[in-house]
Amino acid sequence: MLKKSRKYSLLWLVVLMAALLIAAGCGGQDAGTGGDSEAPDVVKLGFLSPITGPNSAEGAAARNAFLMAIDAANASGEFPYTIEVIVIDDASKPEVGAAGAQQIVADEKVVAATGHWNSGVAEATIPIFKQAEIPLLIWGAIKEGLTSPENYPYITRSAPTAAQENEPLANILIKDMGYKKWFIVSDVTSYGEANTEVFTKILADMGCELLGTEKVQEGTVDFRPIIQKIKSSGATAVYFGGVVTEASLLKNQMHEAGMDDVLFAGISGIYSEDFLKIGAEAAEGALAIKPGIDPSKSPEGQKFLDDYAAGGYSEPVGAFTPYAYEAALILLNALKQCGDNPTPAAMVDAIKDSETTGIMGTTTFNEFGQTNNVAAYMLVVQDGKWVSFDESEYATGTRVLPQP
Amino acid sequence: MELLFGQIINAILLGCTYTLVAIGFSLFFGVMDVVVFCAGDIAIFGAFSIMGAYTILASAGIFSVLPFTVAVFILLLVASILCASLGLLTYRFSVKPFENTSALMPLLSTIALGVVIKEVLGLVFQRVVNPLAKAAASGGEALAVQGGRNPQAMPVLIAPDGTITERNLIIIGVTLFLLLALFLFLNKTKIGLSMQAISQNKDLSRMIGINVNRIVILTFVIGGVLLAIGGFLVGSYNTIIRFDNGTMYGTKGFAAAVVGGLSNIYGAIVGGMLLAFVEVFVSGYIPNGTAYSSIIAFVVVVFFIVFKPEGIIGEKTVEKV
Amino acid sequence: MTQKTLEISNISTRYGQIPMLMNVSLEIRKGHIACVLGANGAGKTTLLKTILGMVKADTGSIKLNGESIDHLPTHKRVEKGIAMAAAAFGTLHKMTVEKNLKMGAYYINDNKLLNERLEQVYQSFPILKERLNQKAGTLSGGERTMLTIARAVINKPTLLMLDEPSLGLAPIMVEEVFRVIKKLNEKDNMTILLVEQNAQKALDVSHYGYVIQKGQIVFKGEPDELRSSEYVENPVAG
Repeated sequence: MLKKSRKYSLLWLVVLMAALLIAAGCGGQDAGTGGDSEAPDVVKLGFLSPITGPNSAEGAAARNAFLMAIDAANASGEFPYTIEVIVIDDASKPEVGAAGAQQIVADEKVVAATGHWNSGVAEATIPIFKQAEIPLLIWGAIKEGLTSPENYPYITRSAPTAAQENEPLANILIKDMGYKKWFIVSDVTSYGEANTEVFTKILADMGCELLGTEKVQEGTVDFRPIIQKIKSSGATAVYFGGVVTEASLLKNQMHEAGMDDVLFAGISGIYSEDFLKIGAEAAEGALAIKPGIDPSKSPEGQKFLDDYAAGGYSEPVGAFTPYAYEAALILLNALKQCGDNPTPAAMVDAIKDSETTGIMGTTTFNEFGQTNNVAAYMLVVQDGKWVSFDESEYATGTRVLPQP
Repeated sequence: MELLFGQIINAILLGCTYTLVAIGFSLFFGVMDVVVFCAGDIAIFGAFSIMGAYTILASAGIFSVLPFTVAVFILLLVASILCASLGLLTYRFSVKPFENTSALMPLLSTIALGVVIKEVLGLVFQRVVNPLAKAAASGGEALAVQGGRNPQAMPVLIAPDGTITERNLIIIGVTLFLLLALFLFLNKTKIGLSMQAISQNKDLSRMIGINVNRIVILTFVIGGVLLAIGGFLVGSYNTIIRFDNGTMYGTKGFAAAVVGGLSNIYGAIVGGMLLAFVEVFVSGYIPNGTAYSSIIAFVVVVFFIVFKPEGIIGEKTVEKV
Repeated sequence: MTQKTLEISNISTRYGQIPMLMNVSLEIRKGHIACVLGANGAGKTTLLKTILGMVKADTGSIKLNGESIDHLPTHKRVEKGIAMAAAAFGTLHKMTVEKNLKMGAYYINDNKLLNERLEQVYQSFPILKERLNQKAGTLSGGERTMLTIARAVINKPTLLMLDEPSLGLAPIMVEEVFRVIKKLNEKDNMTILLVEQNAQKALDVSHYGYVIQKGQIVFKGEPDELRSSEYVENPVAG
């Protein structure tokens, strides 16, 4: 009996080892072809996004759009080499992303990488790309500080940061609509703090009156003391710099306190179905900014949407899918600048100095690698739905916003 | 003047919600000498069970068959039964097993139970739709960071067609009614008197023939019902409920109970109101005070623990034996 | 045959691993006062708690009026007519004297009867009548002892157990307490189990006595026998 069972375990061990060897062999073979084929006609790009895990829908759609652009470029014959993409699924996990980044930088053919929906994953991979001196273009992670003088010029970002949204928001509300008396409410998270700081500065620059600032803990449900304060301050507009739950409660309780005559506006964090659901009829007339350009508004953008639809992908276009497509266009543009033999070092310079006009407007980078393209558009709640402001009854004058 | 009046109303309403949770703490502390830290979570569980029962009953069309008040009564009954059961479970699995150990053990076990209640609520009332997809649609990663478990809109069951003032009056009225009922119950019924006796002297209570176990169990049941109604008022006042609200209400309720003297339910009322007034007035009158309102409220609590540990209206009855 | 109100045979109890009572047997005849004398920590209070069921006996049996009460929880034993008064257990200090007395009458549901009993108690303990609306926590030591005893007798118990009623009292109050005990026995014909350190006082009112040492009954007999025994001559009382 003993002998027999030992024989079986030995057998299993052999099978297991064989399986491991075969697996390793496959990997080795893969690496081998990369190493062997010194053919100068292959250039590789790294692409990272969460294709599995909680953000898989957004991550997979971004991958689809990115590959769509690369395939089109390869088919166009504009490049004297074939562009290959190493697709890494970071699963929204920093450690998985870091391992993927190692894999990308280990490949000699890689000249640039792009990626990230999650800022936390980006924070984990940035040091790896920096050390390998391979440029990383971020298309979807929006946390402040990912682009910085320290990370320049290796790290660039084509998506606007959360704080950058404040500028177009202020332009529309203050310059166009004329709201001058403000009250700021935000939360104490880094997101809220960053928004408060930026918007406070904008108010000062534009010569507006800031009648009060209140920061709330995340999870605050009772805004009534603040609302009384806003009421007696004489503010004509309330800026909300946090996320959706607190925003909808604040708007709801303002409505309850009979303060529909005060404008309510917020950054993109409040643009959500939850705002409508919790706010119910109180949500009416609230404004929110959304970064980017509505792709369907331009012929190039519409073409992208049509092509994507024709591609038959199972994941729908998400908010950052156009940005992933745009990232591909920026990298392709940079590759063109580098001639027939692109290197990572050449790509670093080519990307930071690039000027690319794609489906989201024209992208250039500032002195620390952050996009200058802060195009954004305004949304308004109308009859329980978020509607593009320009198409709303508020724009036509059928309905009116509170007096400035 | 209008500002002052408005803030006073705000403070009273907030105080009502704190008071009911604080009384829960006081009742449990009174009979068991332990801090049942999941009291806030039990209250929020009550609010969620009302919301859940509402969703089920409404889809069954009960509101078109029964008069509204009867339907609301049924909802409260369901929530009360569920919360009373949860109170019993708390006692049976988180308090009783540690009866003869250090007071730290039931404290820890009820904190743990509170986490369980909270997380289960978060899981059960998760959106069917992946909320992260929506967060993405809004263009902000910040939303995704907030997590998938969203707040739930509380059905408007208090004064559904009434004004805000009416709703506020009902909240204050229900709280007053509960306090009065509790006062009568504690002082006029044998069970209530037994609860008081146990909170003053457990050994003596046993000696004079009170069935202490039975009364303790009843206390957890009654406390559960009280917290269920408290949770209902909290949810109705805030218009939404979040699965993790219990932590905040638990902490505030506990703080209020400490200010009031922990085992003294009248102290809990004063403590709840004091905490609410401090918070509202710091928030309402100090520039950017909201960020500090909780801090200042807790400083007040620490002050009481240090300088008046017997509570705001606690008497110094040191019985020399 | 004289009826035995309480009959304890071979009771043993432990506190954790430490034996508290070892094979204690004891009986009290109806209408008698029996005293148990012993030093601090000899097991006197444990004995009373065991009779009341507040401490669980490992072995042995307890009979009240010939009926086994071993299986009954404390509150059932109280309902059966065992009452214990122990000043060391304190009072319901936040309640008034009157409420304390009413809580003692936990099993009297008839209001008329309750008021009658209260009146009787006020007659026996006139000092309490003056203090009715005062909180128990504010009473003096002697008053508190009186309240403790009054609270126990309001039920007219089959067996009244008194745990060191003289503890911590001024001599004049001690006299008063023992006068009350004697009166309860003689006038109301109450059967009493008296646990005391003050051996002389206790023996003066008792019909029978036991000496307990380290959890064991080491001597028993008539008061005179106890007085002449080594245990009382060389008082174990501290």
